[in-house]
Amino acid sequence: MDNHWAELGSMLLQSLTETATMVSISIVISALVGLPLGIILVITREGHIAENKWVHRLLGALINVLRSIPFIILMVAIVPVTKAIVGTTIGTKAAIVPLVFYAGPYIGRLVESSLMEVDKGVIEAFLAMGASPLQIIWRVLLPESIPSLILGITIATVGLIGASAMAGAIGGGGLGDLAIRYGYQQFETDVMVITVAVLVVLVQGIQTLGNLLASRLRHG
Amino acid sequence: MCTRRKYGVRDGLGGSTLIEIKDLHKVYAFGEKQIEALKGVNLRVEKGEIYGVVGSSGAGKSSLIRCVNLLEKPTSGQIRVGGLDITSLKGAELRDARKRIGMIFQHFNLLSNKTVFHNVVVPLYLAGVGKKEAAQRVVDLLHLVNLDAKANAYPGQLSGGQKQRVAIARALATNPEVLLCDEATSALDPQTTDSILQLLKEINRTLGITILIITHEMNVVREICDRVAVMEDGQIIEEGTVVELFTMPRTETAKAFTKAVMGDSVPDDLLNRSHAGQLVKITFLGPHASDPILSTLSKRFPVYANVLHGHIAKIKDVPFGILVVELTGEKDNILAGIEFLNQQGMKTEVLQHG
Ligand SMILES: Nc1ncnc2c1ncn2[C@@H]1O[C@H](COP(=O)(O)OP(=O)(O)OP(=O)(O)O)[C@@H](O)[C@H]1O
Ligand SMILES: [Mg+2]
Repeated sequence: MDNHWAELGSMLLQSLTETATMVSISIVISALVGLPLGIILVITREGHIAENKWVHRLLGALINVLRSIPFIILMVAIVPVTKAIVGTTIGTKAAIVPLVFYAGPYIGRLVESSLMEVDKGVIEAFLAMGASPLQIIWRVLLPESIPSLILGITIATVGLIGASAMAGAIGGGGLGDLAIRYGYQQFETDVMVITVAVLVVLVQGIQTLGNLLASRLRHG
Repeated sequence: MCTRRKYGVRDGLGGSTLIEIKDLHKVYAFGEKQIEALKGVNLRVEKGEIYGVVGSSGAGKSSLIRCVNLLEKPTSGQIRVGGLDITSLKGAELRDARKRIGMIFQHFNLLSNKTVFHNVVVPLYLAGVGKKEAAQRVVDLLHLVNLDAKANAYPGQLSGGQKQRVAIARALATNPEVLLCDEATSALDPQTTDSILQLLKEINRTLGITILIITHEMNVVREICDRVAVMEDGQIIEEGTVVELFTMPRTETAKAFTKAVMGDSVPDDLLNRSHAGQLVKITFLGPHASDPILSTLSKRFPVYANVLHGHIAKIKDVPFGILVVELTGEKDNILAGIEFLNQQGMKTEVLQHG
């Protein structure tokens, strides 16, 4: 009995570490991809600081295509890309590639909606001051939407935890993999319940942290 | 008008032109529809003056002022600020020109997530001023707008008037030659409006900054402007010194605007009643407003003056008054009395002959 719990404990810890690795690396890369995507989507809009109809439409369409592919299919579809980038198609590292393809465009949309909220009047005031488009991005768009951006990243992180569980199913490891292999396929209900409980706590914790940080930084 | 200088209100002539707008047109097009917001506007703002543009909603005031720093691109026409042809500028040149033109807005447009200090220091950073020098300048600017204690507050913690003061400090940070104000007091209550207007007046006087102010509130014009243009339907329909506008409005729009503020209309029942003497409306401006002019009149001429209606207000800092008096006495004496009033620089108008 003791042995069973000890084994379960060490399995849980390892899976948690794998999930944490997958999610944290993917979220950082996805944010680095999504932030510029969102910024470009906003500033190329009609009447914005770098209006460009074609860039806006093309980028919007690309993001929509990526976002409309179900994650499970996306994972399989981009196997060659994954192989080219990380050299393998299984394991935690390999899971990061589809996760970024999933979360990057998603964050792009979240960033877009956050930046759209920025008061047009403030942008105008900065134009009147002689600010360049880059200065407006850096001095107005980003600082004014920081709380909302943090909430967006929080939402994306939670989404990534869910997606990483699916990625686990094709050999990515992590909590999702654990729950499916032991809990679902081998009818070890306690493993499944505990794993799900850990996921719930993880998601709760991340959401709470995000909310807290956002409200700390909001002054408007 | 030959009467201008007597009143001691600076009329802006003789200085050099700072803003010159020539035949400005602005057409907004969306889809099939087109709106012609400006239909050939001509305007000259002299260095050092406070120039007002009034007009009712939709007249094109905002379109006009927004063209001055190219926030709105004119469809045709020319705009020169300080000799520089603004309309031909692009990119970095335009940005440099804008640094010499400050602007404040109806809704303040401050960074809500940044402190007052940060809001004011930003234009200095944009202009490449070093951190230390910029910080000192912000201290001076906040002192100028009377917000020394609020450097670390966030805009959300300030009243509307305080927010506009921050916006003014921000607009002045780079020492602009011109300050553009688009309905800068329209979101404020009357008392706060007054304190902001006093601040603008002080800035104009002490720093010599030329101010172009757009408003639909005539009291704004009366409080601080030297010259004023009345806009209607995309055109300037009347232009002149503020004193001229208030004492001799020509267009119906101008009359309606001034009437509301001056309360200078003569009550109807006064005119409908018959009077024994002559009913005369006396308009007086400047130092005369406080002279005991009616006593002098009665002393010099055998004429009695009975005040039936009166109103005194200020145009910028010049007192302006209207009296409706009934003059009784010999006809010749009354005529001589009226002549005397005219000689004293008053404007008289006989409303009813006795
Ligand atoms: N960006 C725009 N797109 C389309 N039409 C516009 C735009 N801005 C102004 N207009 C139109 O141009 C005309 C003049 O508007 P403008 O804002 O210059 O008037 P205004 O005198 O400032 O009025 P208000 O006192 O209401 O601010 C109006 O008919 C308005 O609907
Ligand atoms: Mg307007």
